[in-house]
Amino acid sequence: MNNIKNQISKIKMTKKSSKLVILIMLFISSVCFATLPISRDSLDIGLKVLAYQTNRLPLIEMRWVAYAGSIYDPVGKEGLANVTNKLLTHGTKVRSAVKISSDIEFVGGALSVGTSYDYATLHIRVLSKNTDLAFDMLSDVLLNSIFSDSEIAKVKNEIIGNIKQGCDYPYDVGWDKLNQLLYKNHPYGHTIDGDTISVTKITRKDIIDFYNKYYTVDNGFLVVAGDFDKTDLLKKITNKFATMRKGKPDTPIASFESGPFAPKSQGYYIYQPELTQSYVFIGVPGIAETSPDYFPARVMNFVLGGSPLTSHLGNAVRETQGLAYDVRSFFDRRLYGGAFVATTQTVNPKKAIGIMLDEITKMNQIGATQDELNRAKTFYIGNFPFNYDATRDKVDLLQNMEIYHKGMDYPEKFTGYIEKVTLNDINQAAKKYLYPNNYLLVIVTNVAKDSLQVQGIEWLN
Amino acid sequence: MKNVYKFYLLIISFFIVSTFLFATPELKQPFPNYPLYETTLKNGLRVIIYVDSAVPVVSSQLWYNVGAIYDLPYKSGMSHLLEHMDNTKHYKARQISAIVDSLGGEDNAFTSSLYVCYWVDLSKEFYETALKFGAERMVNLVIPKEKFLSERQVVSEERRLGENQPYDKMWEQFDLLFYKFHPYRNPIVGWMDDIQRIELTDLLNHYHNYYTPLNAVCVIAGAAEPQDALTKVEKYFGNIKSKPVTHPIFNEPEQAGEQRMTMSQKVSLPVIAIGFHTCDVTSPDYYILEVLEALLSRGKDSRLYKKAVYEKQYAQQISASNDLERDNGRFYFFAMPKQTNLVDSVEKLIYDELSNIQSLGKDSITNEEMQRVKNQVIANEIFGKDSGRSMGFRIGQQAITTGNLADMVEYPKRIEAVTKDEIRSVIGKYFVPKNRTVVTLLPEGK
Repeated sequence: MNNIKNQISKIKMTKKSSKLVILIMLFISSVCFATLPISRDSLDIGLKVLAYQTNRLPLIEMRWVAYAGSIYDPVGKEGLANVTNKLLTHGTKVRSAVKISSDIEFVGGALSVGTSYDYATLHIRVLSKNTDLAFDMLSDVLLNSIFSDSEIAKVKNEIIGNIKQGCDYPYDVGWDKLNQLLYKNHPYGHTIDGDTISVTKITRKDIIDFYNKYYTVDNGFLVVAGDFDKTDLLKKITNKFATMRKGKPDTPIASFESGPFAPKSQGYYIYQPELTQSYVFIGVPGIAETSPDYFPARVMNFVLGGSPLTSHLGNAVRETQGLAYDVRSFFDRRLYGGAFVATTQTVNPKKAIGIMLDEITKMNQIGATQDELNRAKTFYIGNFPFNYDATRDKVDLLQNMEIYHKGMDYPEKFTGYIEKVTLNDINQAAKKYLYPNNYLLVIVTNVAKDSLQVQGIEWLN
Repeated sequence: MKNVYKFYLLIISFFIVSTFLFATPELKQPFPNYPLYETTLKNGLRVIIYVDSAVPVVSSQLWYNVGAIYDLPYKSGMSHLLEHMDNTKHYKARQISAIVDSLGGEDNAFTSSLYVCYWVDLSKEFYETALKFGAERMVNLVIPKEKFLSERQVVSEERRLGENQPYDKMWEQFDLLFYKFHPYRNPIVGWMDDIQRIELTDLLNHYHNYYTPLNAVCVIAGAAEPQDALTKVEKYFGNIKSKPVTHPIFNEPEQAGEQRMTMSQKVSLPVIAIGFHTCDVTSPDYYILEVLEALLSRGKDSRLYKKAVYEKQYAQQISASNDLERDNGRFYFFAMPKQTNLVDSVEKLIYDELSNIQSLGKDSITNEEMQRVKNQVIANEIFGKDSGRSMGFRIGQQAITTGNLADMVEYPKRIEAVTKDEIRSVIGKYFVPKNRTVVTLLPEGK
């Protein structure tokens, strides 16, 4: 931190390289973006369908996305969203759990579920010749699940096993604690799985109530990507999902505001003597995925720690000092407000934390250079086609466009969004979202607390 | 007039010289209806081009036939540490990655027991840059002492990352017990003491011994035009001189009897790993074992998942794996019983299931199961082509592991040909107590 003024005088723009980068940027933006074959339809039955049509291979992937993530868990029943979602593939009025697996696996397909903080998904993948089976299966598990007591017991048992296992992973231990302390009473603060006590308490009635409330045609959307005929596709969807329950749950989620974590930096210490290195997390309340500052903040983070090898953190912690294999920073992707997190794993936490805070401070007070901005911009623009490479990537892209209200013209406008970001924008984002004196530190470590000697921190335990 | 004559002479000379310099070997498409093209440059570099133009990106991969099994004794981790080095005569550390970033690309590298792969994904307009970097690394790598020391520390941290995962230590002990001689017994990242013993000269020798066109495969997968891609490869690699390479052969002696080890550690759930020595990846038995693996553990409808996880609820998870290994392959089971007192039951359940499959009784293999496995293989064959990078990885891995791309292209056909009798026969051949290694990890104090 003492070197900040010296650093300012060292930062100079290399004219030659920045001209080259601008040329690359112009070239990339002119070649990369054709209009993608995507569409968004609102069917008469009330269902929204996002589609990406491609005949690259004879396969199709579909995903039902419901606004039914863990933020909707009732207090004391944390894990309910996850239990409900998992149970969808555990028996319907016409198929047992075993039959669901055997039908889809017999044709070489796969059916999987996933719960995140904001949403829950059901994803199916088959060869396109088995599209009818996929629709039949997806609509069956979504509309006709029976939530039998025996399957509830099995699923809860499996989740409790997962929760126990999670305690064996120091990264997970630190990450969960960071979330809990950072988000405080916000529903983002509890884990998606819940804990062994809350999962045990979940009843069949809880599950059915949650399902009835959140698994409605108005509270989700369907994404389809792959080889299909669009007219035929919409007809099939209309037929299969016509009887899906309507209704929009009225469960507003409060925004989680960005800002300093506390008036003074605070730390939480988890001692695990058997470890051979420490797991370090530095966090502050960040931004929502829908924030107007999203692009400047993201570009700024690329320079600070988004690119693990070439960023400021990567260069200072790994390349120069050899203190860690992995060091990075990111804005956690959430709908109602996220977190900014910088993390590493190292045998020398005292030194690594000092360097990380130094780099965060420099970014906050000095900012990035024009060269760095240009490189980050050409990276994001040139990298965009990787967002729609595999069919699953295409589904992810459409899902995120819908969840985070990006609009169907997002792929076409993406270059413009990035090009528009100025050096002033990213440096303002660094001032607005990095708090080098008001952060939360969580450390899972084999090092005694006194030896860490983190300056200006108040320990919470 | 004389000047005009000279000019034409110059042009003709240029064409003669460039034809000589840039003469490209003929590309062949060895498998009908499969968009894969192949040739070998004069210096021995094998070039494989897989065309998929659906997305305007190209994955350029350089594979070297040198992995962890080539590490010197007591210096395990050498191949992996060398993979971390990226200073060259013309580029400083991480400068190549910074340029790839600025072009919107992604790059990385990985090391296995058998190979090292450097890959760069770029938009199709820029992939030539990746080839330029690949050639630069092949001939112009430099390792400054300072960089060597800091990267050795980075790799030590990478090893510690593994040490703090709950089951890594168990797997290291398993490999030590399973392989008595073969260097598969050493971790790819290296033992910590070995990493510290590696010297800069070790890495430079390793580099000079193995980083040569004759010992490499260049895979280009994605929206590339084959002839143009070959011209670009020839441009950067064509003039690199090759050196002969010696490949060591390792043969694990036959196991003398069943081997068992019980460990305890601070973990929440117990774990059991059971391994059996099998065959080289080029053996016809490999495909039979692939079907057996699918019958046992591919999907929730597979035998082990259905019985151990779903019906009896003995285990949190269970899997069977047929390793793609050269020389001495292995087939292993991994299970996480829900409680320590269920470890024996899970082990017995695995052996019972092998016996059921081997028997001709009511629990033997059904036609429906065989069809399911074959359908899965055909579907996976198509799903696997869904990204240029992953297709490139499959091709590169095959080219190094067996050298024969027919093993990959004809994989579905070979799986289709596997019979129930052959499956019963490999169970009798390999899955016997004498050939077995069992390691159990129990939660400390429980």
